[in-house]
Amino acid sequence: MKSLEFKILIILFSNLFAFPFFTLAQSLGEKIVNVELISDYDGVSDRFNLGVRFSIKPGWYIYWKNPGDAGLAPSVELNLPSSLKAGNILFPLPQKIDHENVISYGYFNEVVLIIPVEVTSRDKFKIENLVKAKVSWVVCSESCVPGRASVQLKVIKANNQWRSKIEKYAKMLPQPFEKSGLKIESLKVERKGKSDIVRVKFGGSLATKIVDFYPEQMDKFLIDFKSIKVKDGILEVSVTPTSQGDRVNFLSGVLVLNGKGYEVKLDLTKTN
Amino acid sequence: MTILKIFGFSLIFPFLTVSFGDKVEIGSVVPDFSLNDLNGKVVKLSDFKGKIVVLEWTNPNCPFVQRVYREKIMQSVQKEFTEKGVVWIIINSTNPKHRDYRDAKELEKIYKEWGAVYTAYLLDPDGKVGKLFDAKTTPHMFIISKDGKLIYNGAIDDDPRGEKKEKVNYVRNALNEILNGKPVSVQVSKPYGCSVKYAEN
Repeated sequence: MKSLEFKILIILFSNLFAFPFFTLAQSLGEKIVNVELISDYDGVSDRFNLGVRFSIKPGWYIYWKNPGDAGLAPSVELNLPSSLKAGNILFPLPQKIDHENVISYGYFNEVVLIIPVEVTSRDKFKIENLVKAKVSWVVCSESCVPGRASVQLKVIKANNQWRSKIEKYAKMLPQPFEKSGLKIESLKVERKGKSDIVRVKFGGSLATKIVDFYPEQMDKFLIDFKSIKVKDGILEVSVTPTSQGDRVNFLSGVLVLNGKGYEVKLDLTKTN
Repeated sequence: MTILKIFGFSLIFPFLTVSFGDKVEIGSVVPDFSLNDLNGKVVKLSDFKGKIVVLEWTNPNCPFVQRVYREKIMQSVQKEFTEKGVVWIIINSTNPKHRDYRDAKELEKIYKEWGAVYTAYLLDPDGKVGKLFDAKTTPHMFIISKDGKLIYNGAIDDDPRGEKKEKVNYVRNALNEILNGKPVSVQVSKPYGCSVKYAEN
C-alpha cells in the first residue's frame, strides 16, 4: 500500500473511536472499493444477467460467500421492479488466502457477482426497468475496512464492455460436479475427539488433478479450514458440530482442478 | 510417598498438566500461561484458579471490534459478569510490526474511552497464547470453567453483520448457564471478525 494511503489510514483509525462507527471507516472502505451494477441485457431476451461489479484497489481483497476463518461475505440487497425476477447471487471461484493461522477465501482487484434475471412482464419492463441495490462489504489488506454503497441501473441494452465482464466472470462460476469427469468412489466419516473427519476418495482420470476444496458455510458445524487436504484424489476435512452429540451429515463446496471449480454436495449419511 | 506428592500436585494445579504445545480443545484442561498486562506486570492464568475466566481476543483497529464496543455489546457482558465474580481477560496478539499495533498506553486510553470493563488486559505480541487457543478473529471468545477446563470457544453473538434486532449472545448465555449450575448448551460457535494479526513465523 502506498505511503500516503497508509498515513491517511493511521490518522483515520487513531480517531475512529471518536466518530460514529460507519462514517470514517466506511468512507475509506468506499475509496478502496468501487461498486457498480452492470448487465448483459441484449435488448430483446427474457433472460439476462445482472452483475455487481467490485473494483478493488491493488493489494486489497473482499470475501467469497464463505469468507473462511475471518471476514464477512459481501451482501447485496436487490430492489427490483415488478417486471423482473432474480435468482440467487452467484460467486465466481475465489482465491485461497492464507495468513499464518487464518484461512480466507476472496477476490483481489476485481470481481463481478452474477445474478440471473428473468423478465416477467415485457410490457411492464419497457416502463419499469430501474434496478437498485444496497451493497455492503468488508475489504482487507493488512487491516480491514467496512464499506457500503447504494447503486442503481436502468436496464437498457448493455455495452460490449459490460457484456465481456459478465461473460468473463460467468466462466469463473463453479460448474456442476457432473461436468468434472470425477466420480465419488468412497465416503467415510470418522470420529476424532469432538470432531468428524470426512474422507472422500474421488475417481476418474482427473482425480489426481484436484488441488483444493473450498467448503460452503454450514449452519451447525464448524469447518477447520487448515485441516483441508487433497492429495492423490483423496479429500480430507475436519468438521466440528456446534451442538454436542451432533454428527456431520452433509458437506458441500467447490473442488478446484485445472483452475476451475466444480460444485460437490456430499450426503454423509450414505458413507461406506 | 513421591507418587502421592506428584498426584497431589496435579490436583492442586490442573493448569499445569497439559503440555503448552497442544492446542486447547473443548473439555480439556487449559494450560497455564503468563503475559504482561498494560502496566508491564506479569499476569498468569493460574492467578485466577478456581474462578470462571473469559478470554476476549481484541484489536481496536478491527471494524468488528469497533462495532461491538460502539453498540455496547461487549461492555454490557463484561460489566454484568465481572460484577458476579467472573474474571474477564482481554488479550491482544497483534504483531508489533503490524500497522494495527498500538502500544500499552494507547490501548489503555482507547479501551477506557470505550468503557471496557476487564480484570486484566494482556499483551501477546509473539502470538504464543493466541496460537495456543487457535484464536482466529477479533473478537474471539473463550470461557474457562472453575476447574480449569475450556467450555466455550466462539463468537460473542450470532450477528456478524450487526443487523439483527434480536441477537443471541453466546457468552452471556453460557455464563448464565454456568452460574446456574447448568451445562453450557452452545459450547462452540463460529467466531467472526478480522483475522488476528499474528507475527510471521
